[in-house]
Amino acid sequence: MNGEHVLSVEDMRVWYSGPGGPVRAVDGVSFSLRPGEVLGLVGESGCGKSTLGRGLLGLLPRGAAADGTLRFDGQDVLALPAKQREALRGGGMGLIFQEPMTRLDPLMRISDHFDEALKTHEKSLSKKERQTRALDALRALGIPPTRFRNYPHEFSGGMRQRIMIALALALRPKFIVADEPTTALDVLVEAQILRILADIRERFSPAILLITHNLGIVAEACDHVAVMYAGRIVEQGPVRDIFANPSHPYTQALLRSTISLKTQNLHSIPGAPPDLVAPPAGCRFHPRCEHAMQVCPAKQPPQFQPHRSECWLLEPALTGAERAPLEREEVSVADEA
Amino acid sequence: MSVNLPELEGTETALALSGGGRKHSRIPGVDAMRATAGFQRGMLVAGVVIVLFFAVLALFAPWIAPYGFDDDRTADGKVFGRLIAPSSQNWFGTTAGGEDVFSRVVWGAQTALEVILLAVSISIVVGVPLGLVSGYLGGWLDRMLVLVTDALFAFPSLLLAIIVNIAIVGGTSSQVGGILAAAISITVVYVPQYFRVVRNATVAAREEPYVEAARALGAPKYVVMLRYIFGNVVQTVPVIATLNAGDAILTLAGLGFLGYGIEPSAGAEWGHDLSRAVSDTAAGIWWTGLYPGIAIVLIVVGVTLVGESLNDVLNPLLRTAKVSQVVLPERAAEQPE
Amino acid sequence: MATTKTSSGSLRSYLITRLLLVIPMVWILVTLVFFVLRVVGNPIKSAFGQLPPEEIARREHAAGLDRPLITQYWSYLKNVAHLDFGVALTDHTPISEILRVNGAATLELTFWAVVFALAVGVPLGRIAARHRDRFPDVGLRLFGVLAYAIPVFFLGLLLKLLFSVQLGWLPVSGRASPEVEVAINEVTPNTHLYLINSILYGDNEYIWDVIKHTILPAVALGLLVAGIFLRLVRVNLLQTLRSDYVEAARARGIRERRVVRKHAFKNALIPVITVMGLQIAALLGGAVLTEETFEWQGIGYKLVYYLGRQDYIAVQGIVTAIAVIVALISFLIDVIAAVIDPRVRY
Repeated sequence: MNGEHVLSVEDMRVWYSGPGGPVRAVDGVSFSLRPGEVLGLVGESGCGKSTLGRGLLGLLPRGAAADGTLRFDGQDVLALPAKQREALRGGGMGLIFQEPMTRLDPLMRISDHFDEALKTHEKSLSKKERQTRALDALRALGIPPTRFRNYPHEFSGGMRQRIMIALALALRPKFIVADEPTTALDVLVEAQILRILADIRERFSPAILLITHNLGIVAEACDHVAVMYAGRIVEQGPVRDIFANPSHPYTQALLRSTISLKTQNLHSIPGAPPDLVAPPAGCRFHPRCEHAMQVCPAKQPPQFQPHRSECWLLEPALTGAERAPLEREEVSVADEA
Repeated sequence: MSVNLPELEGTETALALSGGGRKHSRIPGVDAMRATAGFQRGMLVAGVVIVLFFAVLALFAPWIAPYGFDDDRTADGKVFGRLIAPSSQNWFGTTAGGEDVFSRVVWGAQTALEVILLAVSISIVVGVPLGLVSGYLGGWLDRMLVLVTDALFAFPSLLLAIIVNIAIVGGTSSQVGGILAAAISITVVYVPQYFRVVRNATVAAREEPYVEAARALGAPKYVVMLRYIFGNVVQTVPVIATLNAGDAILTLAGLGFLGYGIEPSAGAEWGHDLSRAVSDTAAGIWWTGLYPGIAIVLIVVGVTLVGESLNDVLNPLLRTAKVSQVVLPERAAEQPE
Repeated sequence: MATTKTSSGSLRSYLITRLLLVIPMVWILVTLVFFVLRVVGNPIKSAFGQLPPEEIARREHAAGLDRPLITQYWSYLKNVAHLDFGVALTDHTPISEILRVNGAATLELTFWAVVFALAVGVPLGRIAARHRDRFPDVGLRLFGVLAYAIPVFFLGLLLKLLFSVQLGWLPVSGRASPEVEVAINEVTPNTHLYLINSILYGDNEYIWDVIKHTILPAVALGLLVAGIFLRLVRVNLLQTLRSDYVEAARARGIRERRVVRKHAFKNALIPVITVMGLQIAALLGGAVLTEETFEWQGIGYKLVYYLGRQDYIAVQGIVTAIAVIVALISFLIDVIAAVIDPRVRY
C-alpha cells in the first residue's frame, strides 16, 4: 500500500432542500482513503451517511448544494465542470446501492447492462472484450455465464446485489462507495456478500467507503471506521483501536448497545435523532450525552487525537465553570417518539 | 354494547394533504385544494372560474337569455329569420329553424348542468356504497361485480348510453325523453368508475393495520366501513367526480349529436345543435356550430382543469415540488482550530 | 425467484389465462345488449309499427320473436359463438356483411387515427416531461386538456369549415370521390380498405383522392387520443425518471441523454400500450361520431343508420359484434404487452 491518498475530503458540506429549510445532512466532514483501504462509515439512520456517499459522486437531488474540498486521483472534483464529473462516475468512482431489487432496468438483459456501462467508459474495448470483462466480473461474484442473458426479474435479491457489485467492479473504479449493501438482504446472503467484498479487496484493491449502521460488519470488513453523528464525523481511526478504546461518548454508547451472546441488559441512547435543519448548538450530541458539561452547547469542540474525536471531555484546559455538568430537562416519553 | 373506538386523525392521504400541521378538513377535496401551489393553483383557479361562470349561466338563464330556446320571434312578434348571421338582434345569429343561437347556448348550459349534476349524484350514491361494501366484504359478490364492471369499462361508453337511453325511453319513434332519462343513461355508464375506484381503495384500506386493530377491538363491520375506511376512501371521490363530469358532458353532447338524450322540445342541448349545424357548414355557415361547440369545450376544459390539478396533488410524484435551491453560507467561525 | 420454466412456457400459460378471461367479459356484454334491447319491447313493432297486426305477427314468427325469451337468448348466444350476428330487419342485410364491408372502413379510420395520435402525442408527452413545470410543459398540458375537451364532431366541423369550405383543400365528406369509389371497389381481391384497393388499382390520382378523404377524419379522431397519449407519456416519464434503476444508471456514468432515452422513456412506454387497450372503447365511440360527421361509411355510420330506422335487430347485431371485437382487441393488447415486458407473465 503506497502512501498516496486516492481520495481525500476536507470540510465537505452537503445541504439539501427540505420543507422546513435547508437540511444540513453533511456539515463539515473530513477523511481520506488510500488505495485498498476500507473505511466503514457508521451512524444512526438519518445522520447523513447516505447523503455523503451520494454527494461524493455528485448524485444529489434538485436544489442541493455541496462545497468543501474533494480530491480524487489528484483532481479537485467539486471544481470540475459537470461533464467531467459525469465522466468520473462509474469509471473512477463507483456506487453500490442499498436496495438491489429495483436497481436494474427491467427491460434490459444483464448482458445489456454490462455492455452499456463498458461502452460508456472503455471505448477502446471490442464487443468480445466487453463480454469477457463482464463474464469475468460475474464469475468473481458467483453468477454463472449461463445466466448472462437473463432479465433482472429472473434473479433473487441476493443475486441482483451481486450483479450490481459485478457491474460496478467491471468498470475497474479506484474508489467505491457501498451504501448499506447488505441491509436489505438476509444474514446468510449478507455473509456471502461480505466474503465477496474481502475477495474483491485482494484482487482489485479499490478504496472502499462502506456505509452501514451495523458495527459487526465494520468489525469484520473494515480497516478504519468513521463514526458519524448529525452531519459530522465525531471520531475516526483504525477499527481495532476505536473498538478497544472509544473516546467519544457517542461511539461508546454505540458499542455498548450492540448485542452479543453475553448481553445481560439492553442499552439504548436516550433522546431522539437530531433535527438536521436546526442541529443542536455547540457539540451536537450534548442533548443525549450523559457526560454533558456547560461548555458543550456553547462551543463546537475541536478535534482531539488520537482519533480526531470531537469531544470537550478530551480537553484538559477547561475552567471549572465550563466543566460543570449540564442541567437538562427530563426527556419525556413523548419526545422519544 | 358499543365499543368506544378512538377517533382517527387521518390517513396517509389526509396527512399528505394537510401540508405540515394545518388542520385537516373533513370536507373531501378541500385539503387537496389547499395543497396546490404555483402553476397547479393557477390551473385550479382558472378551472373554478370557468365552472362558476357556467353555473351562473345555468342558474340565471331565464334572465340572461334574451329569448326562449325555441322562440323564433321577439316578444312583439318580429320573426328572426333563418340562418341569419350574428347581428345586434341575434348576437350569435340564428339557426336553420330560426331560433336564436345565443339563447340556445345559454339554455343549453342549464340543460347540461341539470343533467350532469343529476347523473354524477346518482352515480356517486349508487357507486360509492356499492364499492365500499363490495371491497370490504369481498367474496363472490365482489368477484362478480368486478367482472361486470370490467366488462362495462371495456365497452364504448357512448354506445352503452345509447342502448340504455333506448331501453328507458321505450324505443318508440316519437319520444326521446327528458332530463331524467338522459341522466340515467349517463349514470349507468359512470357507476362502474366510482365503484371501481372506491372498491380498490377499500381493498387497500382494508389491509391497513388500523383497520385490523379496530376489528380486534370488536367493531362491527358497518362501523369499520363507515368510520374508518369511508373517510379515507372518500377523499379521492371529488377528483373522480370532476374528471367524470367532463366526460359525462361529452357523452351527453354525443348523445345529443346522434339524436338521443334530451328531446328537442324539452330543452336546448349543445350536441343536438351541433348535429344540425353539420349540414350548415357545407354552405359556409359557421355560427350555428361554433358557439355551442365552444361552450362544450370551455366547460369541459374548466372541469378538467379542476380535476387535473386536484389529481396532481393527490399523486405525490406530481405535486409541484416547491424545491428551492440551497445556498451554503460562509463558514461559521465555530472551529477553534 | 429464479424461474425453472423457460420464458416461452410461462408466456403461453399467461396468454391462455388471459384468453379464458375474455370469455366471461364477452358473455356479460352480449347478455347486457340482448336484454336491454329486448326491454324495448318488440323490435318488429318498433321498426314496422305501421303495418297491420297480422303482418306484424307473421314477421315476428319468421324472426323467431314469438318464442320464449330464454329460448331466444340461448339461440342468440349460440349464433354469437359461431360469429353469426343476425340479419337486419329492415333491409335483410346480414350483419356479417356489414362487418366485412363497413368494418373495413372503420378499421382504416381508426388505424390512421391511432398512427396520428402516436406520432403526435408520444413525442409531445416526452417534451413536456423533460421541461417539467416550465413553459413547454404548461402549454402542452393545456393542449392535452383541450384535445380531450373538444368533442370529436365539433373538431370535425371546424376542420371542415377551415379546410374544405374556406380553403377548399380537402373534401367535405366520404371515403373517396364517387367515380373513384366505384372503380376501386371493382378490384380483386376487394379488401374494402380503400387505400389498399386504390394501390392495387394502380392510379396515382385515385390513391391521392383516397388519402385526401382520409386526412380530416383521421386527424379529428386522432387528436382526441393524442391528448390522452400526451398526458400519459408525460406522467409515466416523470415517474420513470425518478426510478431507482435510472438513478443507478446515472451512478454508472451513463450519459443523461441515453439514460432518458433508453431507460426512462422505454419503461414509460409500457403503460401506454396497456392503456391503448382501454382506449379502444373511447376510439370506437369517437369513431361512431366521426363517421357521422364525415359520412364515413363505417360500422358506426351504419349503426346510426339502423338506429334511425329503429331496426333493433340490426342494432343488436352490430353492438354485439362491437363487444366481441373490443374483447378480442383487448386480448391482443395483452399479448403485445406480455411480449414487450418480460415481467408480465404468471
